[in-house]
Amino acid sequence: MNADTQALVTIKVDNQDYKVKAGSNLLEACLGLAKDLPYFCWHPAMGSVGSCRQCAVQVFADQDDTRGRMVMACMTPVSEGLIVSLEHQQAKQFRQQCIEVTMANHPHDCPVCEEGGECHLQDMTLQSGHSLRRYKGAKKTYNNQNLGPCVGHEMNRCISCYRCVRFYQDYAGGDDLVTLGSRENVYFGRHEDGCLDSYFSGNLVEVCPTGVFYDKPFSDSYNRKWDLQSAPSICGHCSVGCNMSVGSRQGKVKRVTNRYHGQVNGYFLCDRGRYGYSYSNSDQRLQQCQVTPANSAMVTTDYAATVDYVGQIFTELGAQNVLALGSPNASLEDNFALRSLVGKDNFYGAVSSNQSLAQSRVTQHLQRKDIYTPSLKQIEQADGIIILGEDLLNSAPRMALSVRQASGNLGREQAAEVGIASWQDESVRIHAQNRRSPIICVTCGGSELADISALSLQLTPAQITSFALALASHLAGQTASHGLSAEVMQQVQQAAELLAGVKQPLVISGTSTNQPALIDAAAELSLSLGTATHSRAWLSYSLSASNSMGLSLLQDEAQHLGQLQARISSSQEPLALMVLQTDWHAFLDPAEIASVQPKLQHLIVLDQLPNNTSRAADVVIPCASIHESEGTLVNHEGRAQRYFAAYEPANLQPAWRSMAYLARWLTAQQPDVCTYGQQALAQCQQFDDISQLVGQLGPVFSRWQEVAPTADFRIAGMKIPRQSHRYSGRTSIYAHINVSERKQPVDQDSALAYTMEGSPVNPAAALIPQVWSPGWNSNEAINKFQAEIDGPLKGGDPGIRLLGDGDWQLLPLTNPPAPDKEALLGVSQSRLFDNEPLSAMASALRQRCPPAMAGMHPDTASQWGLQPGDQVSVGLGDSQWQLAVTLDGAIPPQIILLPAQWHAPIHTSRLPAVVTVKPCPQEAT
Amino acid sequence: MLQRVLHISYLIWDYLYSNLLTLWTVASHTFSKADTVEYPDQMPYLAPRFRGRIVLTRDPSGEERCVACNLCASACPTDCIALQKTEDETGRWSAEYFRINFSRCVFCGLCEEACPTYAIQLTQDFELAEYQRQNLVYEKHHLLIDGPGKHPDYSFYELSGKAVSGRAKGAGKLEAPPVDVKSLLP
Repeated sequence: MNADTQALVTIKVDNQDYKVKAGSNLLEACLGLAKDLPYFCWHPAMGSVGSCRQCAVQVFADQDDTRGRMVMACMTPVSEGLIVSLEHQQAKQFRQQCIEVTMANHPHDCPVCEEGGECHLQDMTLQSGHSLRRYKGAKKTYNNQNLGPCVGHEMNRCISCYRCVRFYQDYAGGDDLVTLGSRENVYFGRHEDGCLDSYFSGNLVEVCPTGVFYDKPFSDSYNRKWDLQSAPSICGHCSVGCNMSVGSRQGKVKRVTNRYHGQVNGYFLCDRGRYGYSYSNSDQRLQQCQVTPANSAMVTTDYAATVDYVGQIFTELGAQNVLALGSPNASLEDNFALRSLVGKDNFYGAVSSNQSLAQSRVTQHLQRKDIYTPSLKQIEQADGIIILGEDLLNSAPRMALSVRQASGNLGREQAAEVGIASWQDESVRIHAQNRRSPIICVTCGGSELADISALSLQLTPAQITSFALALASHLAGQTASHGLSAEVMQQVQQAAELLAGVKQPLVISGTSTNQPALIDAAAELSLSLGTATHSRAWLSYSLSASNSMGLSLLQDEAQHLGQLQARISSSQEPLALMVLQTDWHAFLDPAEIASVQPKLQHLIVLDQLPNNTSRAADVVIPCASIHESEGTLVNHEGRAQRYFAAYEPANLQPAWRSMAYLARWLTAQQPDVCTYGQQALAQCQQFDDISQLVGQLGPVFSRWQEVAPTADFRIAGMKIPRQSHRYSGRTSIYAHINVSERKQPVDQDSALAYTMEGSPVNPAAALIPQVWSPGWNSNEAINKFQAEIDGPLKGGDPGIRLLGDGDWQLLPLTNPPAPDKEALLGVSQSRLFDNEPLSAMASALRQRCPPAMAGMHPDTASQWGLQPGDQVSVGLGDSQWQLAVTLDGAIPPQIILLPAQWHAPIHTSRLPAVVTVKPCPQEAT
Repeated sequence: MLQRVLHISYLIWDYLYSNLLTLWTVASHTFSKADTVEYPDQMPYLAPRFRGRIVLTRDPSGEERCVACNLCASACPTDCIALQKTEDETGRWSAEYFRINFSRCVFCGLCEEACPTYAIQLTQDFELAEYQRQNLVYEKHHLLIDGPGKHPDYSFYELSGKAVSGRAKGAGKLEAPPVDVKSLLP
């Protein structure tokens, strides 16, 4: 599909010659030339179907042709010498009449429509020149459906462009949103009321050109797009690092929308990213510093007094006795500030030992010369994918969406052979039928990608590793069973056959099974596949948290949770522990907590929300959330991306700033014992200062300054406004508190301003708060910001890839001990909506969590005499967890799948491990 | 010499004439009709489209007309209107708060022009003076009146197609009954 991307052809648009990309369609070409041409059904990621008839243009046979003929631009390929007119009277009149018909039944409800003001239909109506309604008859109405807590439904507004079902079914693979009815009575909805199943349902809000599908949580406290104070941000809920735009007003996050990134998320987000923000608005948020001096009650105080108190702890215990626990959920700058404060030897990562080892293996593999980690956009170009041990749809949903697109490559390729362009969406699908590029899923539990998988296997984590190694040896022409049964070896053979004709294979694995050996086996397999298919070895890992990669770059792989616990237990001197944005106690058994408690004289927590750790702490320092501060997250491919504050919180500081205060206190009070790290941190006043320090960390961080423009970036001497030029209520929004207007907050940390003043025109790609262009109020305005349609943003996609080259070695296999009769191997099952601590707070998502059930093979269950729905008690160490059983023949007999809920009694980081299983006595009914 | 005498005589005449004319004009006004009125005992005439204090009106059924669409706020050149949308359980939109800072308002009437539901209207009341500037901040309960104002018959939700409080889909004006998706009849 990319062979012809570089070729250019010349077309004449309204008597002006342009060079455009060969192989594209005329609509795409015209939009790429910054022309305004209305459209509804075409979508840059979904191609053309030519159903809305809105992009009509006049095409002429040659220079002498004055009449021309009308074509739909989205269905017309560009060709050398094509003469076309957008402004031709006949085409303009046709477009105007078309939209008049489209609008005939559209309700008169823009004032009460959540899309109003950012509506593609409003934009296109204005653009095509239809301004007067002639139809006086009755309008059609439809009954709405309740589609769950995330997406609202108002069918009256539908213009039947079919974008919703094309996205939901064809692009995202959902099957519960369908087209119902016939002729002009078509209805887009479910067969009955109920929550939309797809994890990508939130995209319907943006895909729908009008307000049929609207963002329900946003609607609850709705503001128009122009009234939102927005900032470019990065999703902090998984390792993919999707770009998003956060809209806020009056110090609350109101909504999250997609922010286009050509290489990462493109046009779509998953529902966890879109709706996971509401923890930031929670009234449980920590707002004030809390200090509990020994033998007295807790007092709330300010930052200065708290820094004073913590500084005393450093003096009292000695800096060498202050340990710190960094977080894979916190930004690289926050973790770096913590590390600077306590020193590298005292800095631990909040990851289990296996997780830490697996993560460091990932980091090493990504630095290799012989392996390439594709971006999500590149994943879409792979034509054979094998997924090892990851339930991708739950652990990195946006990556699963890219895998789904890649599965269509065979169809696109075969269509190209008979001359069908890849953007001819419907024709490609009809031609492809059910033929798909091979996707092989080898997981512990059921895979949600089963519908596109050529081969779907369920094995234990250790078997998955063996499977990868066996397949690698098979591809290299050797036969090694790696302890696998003959039946599984047959499937290895089958997988090798499936991947035989592939041009660009890709191996996807990840850390959710906590198997360091699997990470290496995946790398091994990708190399063998690369050699076997004469292509570059492509390998991608999904990681456990948004900044897992960043933390692993700062932290020694041996400095993990287990090591921290051992260090505390073995310490002869009293210790203090600083915990950054982690519920440390969630990783520990009650007995373990009791054992470390006596040694820990002080527990200092820097967090956003209260948790068990913060309740046990004697110092709690509140932190600004990702929506209230600047920071950098390093995603699964090693791409560093900066997020910016959408609003300035009233009393909260980002964590790094609290630690810089502390470093300043230490340098002032005890200058002779201060470390270099503390002195450097003490110099940090603004975000750029700490960012500059990160840049000096080593060769990996050498391009750190290019992640995003610094705070002194200006366009024509002006900052970039977070508020739109139409932002309302400036002189009255806080007038009830004081009629004299308050000063706008000044942002020292970024080139964005908390005002409507500044230059909204062509901001740097990393600094686009929200997309808007004259005449284009909806998110479709993105075509004015792209260097080419569906390509990179102007000025290049933001963020930089950090990882380069390095050496590696293969790790020996580590098999978990074989379970005995009373026990099973407990394996965690990823869950999208409640296995990440922050998004698990979002009420809209909580309602969508499936019930927590333990998955077992029917034969295993019958050994314990268990029926579906029976309660079992699962034990690991001191922890017991009672939950109902669900049976699935696909689950390997040796394992029990445990839902990876964040606050479950058995924490995911301890799995896979042998767990005891006891049926609970049935309650008398 | 003669020229000089003539010039001085002219100046004296000019001075006298100007003063006498002024005295005459002032004296003559003693007997003419006064232009000012005895406000507040006597109210001035205000044209029907005079733009004074802003109110929020109700529709004929007594419900709030304002649907919190934010168009008035965005049209306001002094940004003195701020509001927040909320929704009742039947799906009817209304303002959670609606605030006008009259110390900033220039009574341009653009909010009234922008309003798609005839909710916000400018009235003929101009007596807004306060001793405290803070008292010029009007909240929704200050703004909301009991009547429909200038457009007595208009009810937005009759025409919107949305189902709200008691009015089902298709029950509004110029609305067909809801489409039966299961029907195959032409």
